[in-house]
Amino acid sequence: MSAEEMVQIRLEDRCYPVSKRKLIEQSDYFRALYRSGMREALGQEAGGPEVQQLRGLSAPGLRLVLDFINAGGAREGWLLGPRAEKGGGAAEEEEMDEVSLLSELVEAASFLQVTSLLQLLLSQVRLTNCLELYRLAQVYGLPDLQEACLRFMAVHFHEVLCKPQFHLLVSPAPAPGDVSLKQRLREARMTGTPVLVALGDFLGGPLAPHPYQGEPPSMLRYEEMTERWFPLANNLPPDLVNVRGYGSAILDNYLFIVGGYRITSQEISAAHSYNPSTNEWLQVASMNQKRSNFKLVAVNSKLYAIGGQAVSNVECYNPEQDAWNFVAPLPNPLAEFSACECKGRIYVIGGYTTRDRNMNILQYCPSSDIWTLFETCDVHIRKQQMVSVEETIYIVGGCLHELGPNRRSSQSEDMLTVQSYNTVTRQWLYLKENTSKSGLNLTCALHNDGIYIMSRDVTLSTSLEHRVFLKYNIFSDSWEAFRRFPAFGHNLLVSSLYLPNKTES
Amino acid sequence: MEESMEEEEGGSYEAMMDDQNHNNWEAAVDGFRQPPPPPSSIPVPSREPPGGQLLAVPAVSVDRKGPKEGLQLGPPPPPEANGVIMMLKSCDAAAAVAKAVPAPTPSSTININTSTSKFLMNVITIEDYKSTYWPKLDGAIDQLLTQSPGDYIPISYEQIYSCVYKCVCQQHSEQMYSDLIKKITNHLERVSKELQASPPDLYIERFNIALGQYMGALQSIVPLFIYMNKFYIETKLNRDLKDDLIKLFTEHVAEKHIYSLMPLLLEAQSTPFQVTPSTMANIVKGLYTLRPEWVQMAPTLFSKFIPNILPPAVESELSEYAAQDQKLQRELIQNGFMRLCSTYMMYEVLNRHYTALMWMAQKVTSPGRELGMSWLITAHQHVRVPEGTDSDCVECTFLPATRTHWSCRDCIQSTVGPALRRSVTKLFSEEDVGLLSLICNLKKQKTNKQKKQPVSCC
Repeated sequence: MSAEEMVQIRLEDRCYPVSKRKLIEQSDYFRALYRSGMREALGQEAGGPEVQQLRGLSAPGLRLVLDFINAGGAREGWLLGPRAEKGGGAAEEEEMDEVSLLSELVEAASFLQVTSLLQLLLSQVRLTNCLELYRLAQVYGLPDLQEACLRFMAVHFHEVLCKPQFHLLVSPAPAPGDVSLKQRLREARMTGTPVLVALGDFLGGPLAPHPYQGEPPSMLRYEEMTERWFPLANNLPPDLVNVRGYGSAILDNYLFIVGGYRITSQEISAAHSYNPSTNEWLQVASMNQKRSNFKLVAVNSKLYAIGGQAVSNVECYNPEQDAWNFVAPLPNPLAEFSACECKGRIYVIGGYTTRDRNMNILQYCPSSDIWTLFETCDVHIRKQQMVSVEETIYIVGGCLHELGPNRRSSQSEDMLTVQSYNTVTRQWLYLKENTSKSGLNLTCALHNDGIYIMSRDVTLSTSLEHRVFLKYNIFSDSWEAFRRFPAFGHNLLVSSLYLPNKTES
Repeated sequence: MEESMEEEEGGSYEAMMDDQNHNNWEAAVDGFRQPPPPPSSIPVPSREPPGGQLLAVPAVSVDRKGPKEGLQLGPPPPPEANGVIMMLKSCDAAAAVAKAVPAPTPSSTININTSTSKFLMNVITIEDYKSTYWPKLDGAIDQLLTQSPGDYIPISYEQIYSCVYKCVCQQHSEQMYSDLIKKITNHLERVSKELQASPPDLYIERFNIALGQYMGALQSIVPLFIYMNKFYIETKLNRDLKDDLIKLFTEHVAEKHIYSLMPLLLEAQSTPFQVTPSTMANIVKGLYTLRPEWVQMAPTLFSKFIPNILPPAVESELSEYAAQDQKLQRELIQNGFMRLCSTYMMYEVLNRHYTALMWMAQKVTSPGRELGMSWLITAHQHVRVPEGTDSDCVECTFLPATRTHWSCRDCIQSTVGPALRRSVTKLFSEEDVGLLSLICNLKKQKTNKQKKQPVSCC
């Protein structure tokens, strides 16, 4: 008897020698086999088999698993498949090979129940293999791996979503009541801590509220407990710096910044998305139309880029295809208008047409791809911001101009107002005003229980800069002012994103 | 597929497995791998390898398979993941076809096919499972259940395991698990009936055989089903197959026989050579595995075979223990039920306080021993601090025959009020006071209150 008793494993017509000790150590299959007292458990002298016959597995998969077992389990820096190190390369074909090798490996490891190898797979989930691993985890009943894949796919949701294989994975209609994979991933993205994030060309300097080192950051997050702003570990991509008049929207907890114009040159069509789960910016497909001062609205898991400077067309971005397509255009080009989603429809309110004030509320239905005149109102509004809660649209700021006999004083231009419009009852409510603040140049976001508003304005007469950071609480209909404005800066955008919980990251 | 499976049934195990894994599936591939829409979109015959040496199954069977798999793509009767597999396979196939443009030669398709699992190529419908796979498992389980421990087992582990594995991967775990439980339950009910019919002189021996045979069978059955255990029972049901199967024996055999078995065991124990010691040992150990609480039905008997049931006794004091026991038992019988109850209650309280004190003093020991209550020691092995004691059956040490429902723990916990606790603590602080005087003192103090308690608890 040698120190290391070897077992021959035969698959088809080839034999693979493996240390019996390691085999029993690593493979639950062999451990159970030798414990079962069945035919194969007996020693050769007791009439047991010369070799351990395996059937149905693939040779490359088995070889990988046996290599793993012979090596005594996990090694430092173990990587999936021989090709994993290369990276890049002639992607398509290699990916195909890697995927097939992967399935063979997982099958052999599952069959032989090499738990440590299966465990190791959890750390090997990549963009190239997550879908395949997810499928394999389903097939072989590996809940841990399935969870790991789901986590990974939720973190890289849009990148995974636009892979063609994704749709093959989810296409069989799930049973009623069963949550589809896409839905599960969407829900998984909406976890973490909702945090107010501010983007802008912030200026450093002694007056900055926070002593930043080096370059002033372009992305800040607000910590509500301490009422302080902290830089996010990431900044705007260089080609987004100094872009004005862009459209922004949040889709699946990605912050999209699309289009706009550069001060130095003309309009752009590029689109970027910020993924808070990875703290990374991704460039996605550009729009077909260069546009600025337009509205970007997220509806039904798609983005709609509406109008723009002298532009009436509308484009729809589907993250599943990573592509923009034109849909039904606005009846007219609009300027200084606003739009938001409400109950699965888009509402466009205010601004100017090429000829006149726009007094119409337009409604767009994504499923029928039709713009309809929803209502005509007798108050003109422009440059407002809009958010919605259930069937109520909140109209924040902007410049009001009442037509008709019982018009209010024209002070409204210098005030920050909040109004609501109920899309069901079609009722307007003048909710709140905040004097001495202009509502013309603000950014706002629905966050927690209110609308967080940030505005920076210069009063022409005094050349004084007003900086406002306040919240309109939609439940108590009251203002709440905050002391800390993020920083001196231009081109502010405030939005609410789910940031990963610290324990998770 | 049923046809080919039936063929296998006729053959030997080896032939069956070979056929299934190396031949049929390849044939099935072609029918299987067509893109979802109509199976006719790629003519089946043209995709067969020209050599055909790999294909043991005639083309007819391929034709039969094509439409059959195709059916599953629709609103699928076999649920969820089957559909997933189907779709992905067909997408692979689509990709494979696309890769091999413009005209995919049959052989190249086959080569690509080898990359996908051979095991899962055969879709196992519920009918396949019922007609082919379960019967195979059923036969093996029968054999394992009925053979004697130590017998040579002619069954191949690899074959049965593969069979289980395939069924699990094809989403038949739930069915398989319920079939397994049903099968073993039926078997055990039969075993129990046979036992019931045995004459008393053979009863112990027969019980021993049944227990041994079943435990022996589990040694093999559980490893065969580890794949199902790991990927279904553990993850979906949060249980363990072995525990489940042991529980089946407890429920369907042991529990039904324990009350007739115990007196026989106790009797046999006192009659030398009526039952061989090894039988006795097996049964006692077996019962202990099935349900450790049964120790309390006969702690002395169990302690003979299972270590650490009783605290290590000091040899020199053995006679003293015996004398104490006898004295106590006499007293208790004289004083009757009330006395017993109050003793029990006293002990509960004492035990808790004393143990807590001992733990604090890092001097963990049996409180009963210190107080000279050896009869209680036997009943209070599992003193837990601070929750209290687990001592349902004090009396069974001296009144085994009368023990039926004497579990007063609950009412003691509810009736021992803070006042009583305080008084006991106070009494207890006078370290030297013996148990009986404690009880008497307590009774004097609490006569009125205590009158009702034993009644309510018993």
